[in-house]
Amino acid sequence: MTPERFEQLAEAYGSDLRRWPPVEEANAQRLRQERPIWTRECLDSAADLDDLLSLYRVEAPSMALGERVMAMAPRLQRSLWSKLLGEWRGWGMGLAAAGVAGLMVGIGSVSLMMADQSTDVTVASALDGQSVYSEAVAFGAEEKL
Amino acid sequence: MTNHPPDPDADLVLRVGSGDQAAVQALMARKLPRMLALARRMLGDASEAEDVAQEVMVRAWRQAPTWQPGTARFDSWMHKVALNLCYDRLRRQRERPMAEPPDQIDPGPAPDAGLLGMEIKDQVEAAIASLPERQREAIVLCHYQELGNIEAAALMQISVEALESLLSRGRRALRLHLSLLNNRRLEGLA
Repeated sequence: MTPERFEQLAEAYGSDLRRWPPVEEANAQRLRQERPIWTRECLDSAADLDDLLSLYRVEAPSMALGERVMAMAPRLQRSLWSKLLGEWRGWGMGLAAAGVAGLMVGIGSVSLMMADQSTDVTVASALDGQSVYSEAVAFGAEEKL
Repeated sequence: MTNHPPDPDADLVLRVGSGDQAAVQALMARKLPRMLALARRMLGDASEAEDVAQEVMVRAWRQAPTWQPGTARFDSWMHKVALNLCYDRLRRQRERPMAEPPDQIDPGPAPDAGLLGMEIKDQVEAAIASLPERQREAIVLCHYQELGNIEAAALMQISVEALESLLSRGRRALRLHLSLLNNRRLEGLA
């Protein structure tokens, strides 16, 4: 790297070599070893401006801004929750329908005196299905609140 | 085919897209101060900067569910959105009709006199605001937002050489501006 290039980079990117293009860093370090006094003066000059620039700090976002941004985000959440809730309701209805169908089969089976344990399982599924559905509806009511 | 470095925000954005509340909060904590700082230094106005930062975050919420990792870094995309919004506002400021020119020369203090009384940090802010927009953008992206030269040049749609030229000219102008102010302040104290 030529001294002119080193100076150009210091003028453009400042005194901190971590801000310099990575492809230039090894050559810049080599020049620093070869010409330590000159490169230090060059970097010190750039550092003066860097120090001044670092005085321009921007305040952290206000609480009000954070709240406004989050107020936009929950819409996304609600829509996703609503979608999920819809799926849960679908599953609940499906389970309930399966339960009713199972119940009817079970009643038919009893009437034919052919009940077996599988009917109990089906009835239990129906009750479980109703339970899931009830929870989903209750959750939906909470969401609306 | 270009190999993109891994996007440090990719996982978080995917989680935001799937509705993860904790991820929404984490992305806001990570990006809102960054977008606010970018807009503040580009526009020089706190209220307008808040509007821009808010709009960028809202667009991020909308973008997250359809974000395709591997195309560009999410942070770059947010910077691009923020810069476009800043330039829209800067354009509107330029197009706004100016007030009637004064009939008489303002007898008040010269503009520099006001600057002389400022704190150094306010002088730096004023000096950055006085830069041409492209020089300001280059310095804001590279110095304050700490973007790499390739990423900053891509955002500005210029070559790396052109970026370096803008940075050098911007820094020279800032140095001159700030040294002049300090010299005048020292003269005033003497």
